[in-house]
Amino acid sequence: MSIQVSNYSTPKHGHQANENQDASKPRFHPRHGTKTLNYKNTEIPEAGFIFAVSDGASEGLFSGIWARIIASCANPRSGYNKRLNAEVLQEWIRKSLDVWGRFMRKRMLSRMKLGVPLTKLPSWLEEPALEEGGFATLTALQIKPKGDWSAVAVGDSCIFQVRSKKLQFSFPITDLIDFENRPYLLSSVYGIDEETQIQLKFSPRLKKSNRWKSGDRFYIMSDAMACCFLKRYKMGEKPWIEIENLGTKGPASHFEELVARWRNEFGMRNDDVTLIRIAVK
Amino acid sequence: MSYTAEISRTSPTALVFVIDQSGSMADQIPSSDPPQRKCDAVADIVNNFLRNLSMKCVKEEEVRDYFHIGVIGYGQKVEMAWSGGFLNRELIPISEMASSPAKIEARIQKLPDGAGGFIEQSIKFPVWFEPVASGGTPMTSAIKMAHRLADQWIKENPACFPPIVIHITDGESTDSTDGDEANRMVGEAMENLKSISSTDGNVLLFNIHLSSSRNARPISFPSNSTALPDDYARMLFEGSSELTGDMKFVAKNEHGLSVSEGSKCFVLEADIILLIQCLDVGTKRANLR
Repeated sequence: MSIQVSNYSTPKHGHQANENQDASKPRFHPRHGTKTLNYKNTEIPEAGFIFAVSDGASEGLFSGIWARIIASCANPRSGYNKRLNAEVLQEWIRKSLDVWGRFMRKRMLSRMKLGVPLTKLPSWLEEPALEEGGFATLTALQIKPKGDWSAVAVGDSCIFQVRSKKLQFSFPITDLIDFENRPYLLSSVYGIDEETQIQLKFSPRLKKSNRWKSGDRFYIMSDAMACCFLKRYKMGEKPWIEIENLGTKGPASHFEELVARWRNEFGMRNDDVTLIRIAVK
Repeated sequence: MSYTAEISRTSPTALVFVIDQSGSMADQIPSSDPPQRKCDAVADIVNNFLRNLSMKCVKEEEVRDYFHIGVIGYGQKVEMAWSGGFLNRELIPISEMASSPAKIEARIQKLPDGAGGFIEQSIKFPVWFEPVASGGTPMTSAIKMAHRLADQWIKENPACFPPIVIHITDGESTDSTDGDEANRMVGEAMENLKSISSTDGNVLLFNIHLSSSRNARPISFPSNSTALPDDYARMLFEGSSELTGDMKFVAKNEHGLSVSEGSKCFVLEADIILLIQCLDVGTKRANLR
């Protein structure tokens, strides 16, 4: 088995790279641009790899940082051979809340030392904003050896599995209308609430047909691109062909050009856009 | 007319309140417990709405100027109703508004305790707009003032999500001693206001009529005027915009309110809860980016 994974991300039109509130695992560094990692058989642990996209909400305090924390905490558990499930997700959330707490404490101390407020917010607003915290989606894919994979999603970032020029699987959204609903989100203050807990999506138990096969592609995307991808697919197009033509390194990946074209020609919503392209053999 | 333009720092929109401050707003709200004057309730609700909207505009660690806000009061006079440092200012970027409330009061907020009861929590409550109740009801002039603000805004922001104007009143216009003529004048001013448009759609005008009677039955977002009791209610109905698709979605799915094809941004005999729901319907699914 071998895995090749490339990551791409660009902020909404008119924004700076440091305003991008999407995050991914593997992490995208705007300074370095697209990076491609290659894993050969011997380097792939039994628990496999986790790839994830987290989309920081347009509202909320430090939602972009919260998205980065969640994506970074989505790790496989060694010696744990089950599929991704609520227990694993809870563990990621617990870890993320710890990291968030450390981030806030560190920030508080450093700002106190400098004698400046914790945020740029008016004083009356800082307290309720801190109580609300940040919000983000999370869609994670675990790929393991021997055709095994599983996925979990909170919100509307999506995974598409493509095989031999055909869309094999779409998760968690299969119907375009579902992009119109407000996505469920993970909170940096309480993690996951009861309502979101009910709306957690797990990929179904694998049938023979959707176990991964050599040559399969998985794409994980934040919502604007996922919506456009699905819309074009439903119109009979094969949007993954353009994704396959993207380069593997730095600015030469031409991801910004692809995003600009999808926005102009296919009505893709102006939002931060993140893509992870995974090829398995 | 799509109402799909994004609302962002580079493409903000205007939100204008037009608030009845006539003498009748000193009357008590029917069934309010503890007793509360209409003007006090409206001031609390609008200030609380602006507090929540400021929070909604928090991105990373700052308030972003997705909205520019105006509050027009009409009663003894027709003028911008800002208190404190914004006296005589018209539309104010929300970050500037959030930074400088006229005062900050300590209020007690009741929150569910998770066991069926409530706990009391002290919160900082910013006040930008004070309750006032005196004079007549010069509704036409107030709507014309909103027209001027919206028109100027659209000239400066021709591709914006159209300005949202929220008119809250408890009584009929006193622009003329002849009731029919007063209705005609207000109706015409509302039609003129709704006729201005950005490339994304016409100005959205909400008319929220507050109840004065304990036994009144509210009518929310009607699609026709058949159930309306009089010419005044029909004038407000005709003067209101149609709910956009997003507004219908919030009304139906988040507040369980009945909406249909052609439902208007209009409620008659609203109680406090319905007033709060209307403000939510008007702004909740704003396409913030």
